[in-house]
Amino acid sequence: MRWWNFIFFILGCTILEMTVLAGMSIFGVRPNFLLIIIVSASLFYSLPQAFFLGAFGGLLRDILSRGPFGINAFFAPLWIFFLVKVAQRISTESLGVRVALVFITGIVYAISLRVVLLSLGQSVVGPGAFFRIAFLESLLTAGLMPLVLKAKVWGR
Amino acid sequence: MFIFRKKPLFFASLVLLVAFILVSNLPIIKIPLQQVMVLPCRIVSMLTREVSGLIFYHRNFMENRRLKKDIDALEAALARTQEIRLENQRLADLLNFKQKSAVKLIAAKVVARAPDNWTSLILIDKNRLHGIRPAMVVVTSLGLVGRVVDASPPWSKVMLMNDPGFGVSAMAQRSRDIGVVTGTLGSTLLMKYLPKEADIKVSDVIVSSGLTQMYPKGLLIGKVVEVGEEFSGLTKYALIRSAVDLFSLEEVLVMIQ
Repeated sequence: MRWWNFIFFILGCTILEMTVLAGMSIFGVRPNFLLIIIVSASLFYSLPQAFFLGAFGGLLRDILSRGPFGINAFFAPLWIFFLVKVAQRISTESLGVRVALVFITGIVYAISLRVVLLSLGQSVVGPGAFFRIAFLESLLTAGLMPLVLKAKVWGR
Repeated sequence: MFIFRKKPLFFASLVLLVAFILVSNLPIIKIPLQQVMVLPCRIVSMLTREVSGLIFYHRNFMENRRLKKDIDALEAALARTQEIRLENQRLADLLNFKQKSAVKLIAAKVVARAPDNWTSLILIDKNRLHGIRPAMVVVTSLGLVGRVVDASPPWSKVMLMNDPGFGVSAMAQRSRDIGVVTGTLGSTLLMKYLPKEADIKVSDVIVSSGLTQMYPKGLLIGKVVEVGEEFSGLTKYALIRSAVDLFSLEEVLVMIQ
């Protein structure tokens, strides 16, 4: 998939998340397509392209959510940078490694987001609910990743 | 020449026949007679149906297929009608509430939910151009839903009660104890800062207290499902099941003040 076509993929995923998937949650938690976008962009595109795609996905999330504006648009490219560096050091050809990357990125992304929100004085859920949501969200998203990778439409 | 001895036989038969007809009309005779006839009639009619079914197989097959198609079309129409009926009922409830309410209300449809798991936000199809402004209260006929946080076109964002950023001063209707209700991202709400000696019980009704300026007094929030003491031991908390099902909203009302 060309990187500019990936933009339509991001838009389609966001619309799905807001409409169809809004009613399909497990214990009130849905998969996080932004995570899939971040990991896929860092695995299959060059750094500048992945940066742009991550920023676009994060910006879309910020526009449609309530949190401080720009927080996802900032964090998504940051995580893409880290993941590209990780992909340069370890082999990411195996499906298991990719799924593990999604899971770990989800947990760490959620923790970093919570730290930033707390430092900005925003209201957040209690630690029990936070870890439940972060764990389930990462698990569901990691479970969805093999289906996305099977599509075989990626550039490399 | 008429044979005389045949006439008595004829008249006797006639009399017997008339007597039989009259007697068989009596229930005591009629019912058993009918019951005797039921089983043979059933057997014969069943055999007749089977035989005609075999003879007219193709005709029955084609009619069966046509009827099945009609059933499918009717079932689809019934499902659509059911959906229209349910929507009509919901809108009638909203209209009834709107007519009884003393404040001006704008009805809006829910078009989408926020795509992340850390906020509880819905997007409605009315915005600033329709008179909606941030901080307006959103309700349904069942109770409080949340408040508008952004009214920029093309839609408005409504923060639901179960968002962690939501907060409203509330009180127990029975004991008038006051606390603050906030969200937990789940199906229950948290009422905190209740005094230690607060008289709160399970099934108590919680309504808005009016102390938060933007929320009118008396808006139904939900019912208490659990009461407990905070870790510090200084205050109590209560878990509340909201009166409105926040996960299946389709239409809401925005209070214009």
